[in-house]
Amino acid sequence: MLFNTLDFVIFFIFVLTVLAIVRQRKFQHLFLLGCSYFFFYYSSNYYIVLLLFTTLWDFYLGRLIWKATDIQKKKVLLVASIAGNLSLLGFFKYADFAIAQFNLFGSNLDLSDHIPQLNLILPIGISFYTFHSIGYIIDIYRAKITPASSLREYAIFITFFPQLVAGPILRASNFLPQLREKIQQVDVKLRQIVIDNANLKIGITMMALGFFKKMFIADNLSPMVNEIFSFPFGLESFTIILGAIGFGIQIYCDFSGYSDIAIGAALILGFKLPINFNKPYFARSPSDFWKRWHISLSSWLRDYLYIPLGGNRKSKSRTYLNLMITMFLGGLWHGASWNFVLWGILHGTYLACHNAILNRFPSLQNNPFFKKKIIAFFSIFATQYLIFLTWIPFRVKETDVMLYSMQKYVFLDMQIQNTLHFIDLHKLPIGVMALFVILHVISYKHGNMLQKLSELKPAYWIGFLAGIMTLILLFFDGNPQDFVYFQF
Amino acid sequence: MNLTISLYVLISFIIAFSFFSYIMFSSNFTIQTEEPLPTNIESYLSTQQSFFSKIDSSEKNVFILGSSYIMALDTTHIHNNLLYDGKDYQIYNLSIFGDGLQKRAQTLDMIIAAKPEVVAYGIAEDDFSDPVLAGVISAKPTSILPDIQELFDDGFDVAEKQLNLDFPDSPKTVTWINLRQILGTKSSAEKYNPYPNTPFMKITEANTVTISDLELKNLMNYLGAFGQIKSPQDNDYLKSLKQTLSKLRENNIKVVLFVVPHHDYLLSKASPEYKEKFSLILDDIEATGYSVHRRNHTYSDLPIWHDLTHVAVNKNSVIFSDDVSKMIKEVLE
Repeated sequence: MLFNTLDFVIFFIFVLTVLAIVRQRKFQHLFLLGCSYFFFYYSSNYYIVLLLFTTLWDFYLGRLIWKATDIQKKKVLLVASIAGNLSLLGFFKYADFAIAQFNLFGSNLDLSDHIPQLNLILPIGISFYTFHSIGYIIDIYRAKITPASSLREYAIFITFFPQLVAGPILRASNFLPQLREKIQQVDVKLRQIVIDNANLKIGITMMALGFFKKMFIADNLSPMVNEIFSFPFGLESFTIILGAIGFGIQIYCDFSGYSDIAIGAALILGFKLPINFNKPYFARSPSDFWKRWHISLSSWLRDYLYIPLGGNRKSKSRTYLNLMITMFLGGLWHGASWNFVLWGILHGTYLACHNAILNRFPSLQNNPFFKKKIIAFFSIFATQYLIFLTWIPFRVKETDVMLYSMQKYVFLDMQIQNTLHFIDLHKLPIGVMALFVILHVISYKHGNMLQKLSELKPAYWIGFLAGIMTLILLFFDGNPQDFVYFQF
Repeated sequence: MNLTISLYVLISFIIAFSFFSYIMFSSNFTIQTEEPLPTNIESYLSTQQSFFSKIDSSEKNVFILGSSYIMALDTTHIHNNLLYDGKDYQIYNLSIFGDGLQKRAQTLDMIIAAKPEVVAYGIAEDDFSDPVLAGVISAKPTSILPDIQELFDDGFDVAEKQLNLDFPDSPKTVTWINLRQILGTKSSAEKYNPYPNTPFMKITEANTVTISDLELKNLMNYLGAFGQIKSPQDNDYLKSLKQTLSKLRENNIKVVLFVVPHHDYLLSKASPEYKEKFSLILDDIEATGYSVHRRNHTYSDLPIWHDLTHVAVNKNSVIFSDDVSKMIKEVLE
């Protein structure tokens, strides 16, 4: 079920109404669970079996790992759990990619037989709920958390509908206590899901901003970006740069918009989900970018991949290698395609280079010269130039198109005539991009805009909501577009 | 739950929806230009009605019908070609992006009422094929289990009909056109108007670009799937065209039928069955007494292509207009 459809609005209002009326703990949790399964089934039909399998598999293995006293047995169970999860993910997400590579390899060796493609439909959200589950199991193995006390509790953690299909990636250590708080305090009202006034207002404001980002900004930029990258041959460098910036804004508004809706919806239901974005286009270095972009994924990769690989605790060259491996796998997680691998490798290279520079010149970090405003501006500009370059392989799958676009992005042809004409033909998306930049700068300068907006006087708050709704309705092109991250 | 907050949200929605409805339906904001809204049949028909009502039926007119594949036909050039032989006709290129045979058939009475001497119709393979739905990311597996989403969509459609809601398919298009009217500006497409009497086609300078052979080859990587062409006896699009032709004949309107040019690179990607079915359809039309000028392979070697399906709108592609001029001359003689 897409958030940006009438279906979801009706569904959410129904869930909210029932939870507000029937204040009985057990019913509320079972109802929330049932609704979450319904939400998934609505879009994924029988693929719900995979979700059920993951839930049962990791719930019981988690308990066995917790109970096991022998470290070897714990390890075997951990490997079994991770293997089960990755097998599902690998089969549905990477089987056709592997077959294509195998066939390509075979044709180079003049092997006549080709393995037919399976043409599997990627189950929505599988990358996300697999990571939830793996994180949960590893945390139990590391004795950081105790297992879920019931299957119901664990199932709610995995299937909680606001975050089910595209995150943020939840940690059991954050979510289960919120659920237990409500379950354990049986004698007080907290045990129920209480729709709190303050949460309701902040949640609605957040959801409104999310819808605005997705339906007004991202969806209105997408046609221009598609036009540029569907056939960029012959376009000027500045047009390609415009496309890269457009896509950078589109994907940010698409994904952070989704995250805002998810976090807002969860907040209304009384659950706090981790933030996923923190003004990433003001990052001053590649590592700063990854502290601001898809935070739940980057912290997951750090805790469950980079650190187990050795992190920065071993040699310098090993640190760089660990960064490259982490980002390579991070790229592959996004999609079974070489363009995502290249995207990951580029980011790995940026991080390794940044790390190497800081290792070589440690005094740079505290040098007052780098604290100056103009230098900070230059750092942001340089970082974002590199980041927007990586959006090209993220957006374009076809190798020749991607390489051509990247070449034009890096080696400027200094032609502007056709770009000006292109801008003249695309006033709406260009206007939307300008609006995004203005709003982004305002939110950067003024800190917590969400809090400020949700604390507006009623008349202004109504005006804010009505304004956002009007813009969304007036610039809706009649066809709700998928969230980009649904494909991951 | 705080009912006050819910009330605020409701008020916001009412304000937004009222303003939205006002913009969409207010008489001050009706679409007065000849820009069609191709996805909305009502807008399509009203735009056509508006155009044909202005046609002087006492004049000698030639209408050229088809989709964007014929946008490169230069009405001035065709007019001059005919004039050279002493035939003074007003030429109208009525091509529309994505125009279809069944949609066009609904304007037949308007065409007949305008009493043209000749109707030239450019047809293509995809005019006779069922459309292929573009792939979406959230593809859903199908199974014997009930599809709740489909049930909801069906219910919503029924409710929409019952309540007689008639919102435009694309509010964004309406908003954009209205904004331009308010600001008194014209779109670049309107500013760039290379050919007169081509009212429905938004020709931009981008359409004038001729691309190289290498670029044409590259474009083959981005081809979508071909639709399925049903055999002549089961093809509803063909039936619709035949009805159109028969009515035109009844009203003594001469008809020129030609297959629009597509590049051979495109046609090489089509299955033999696809090509065979299209050929059978053309044979079937010819069996009713119309000759079809098959130009689908004619221009492949010429450097006149904007992409694999469109001839570029520039002086180099004048050969296409010359060709159609000859076809029209033939039926006029």
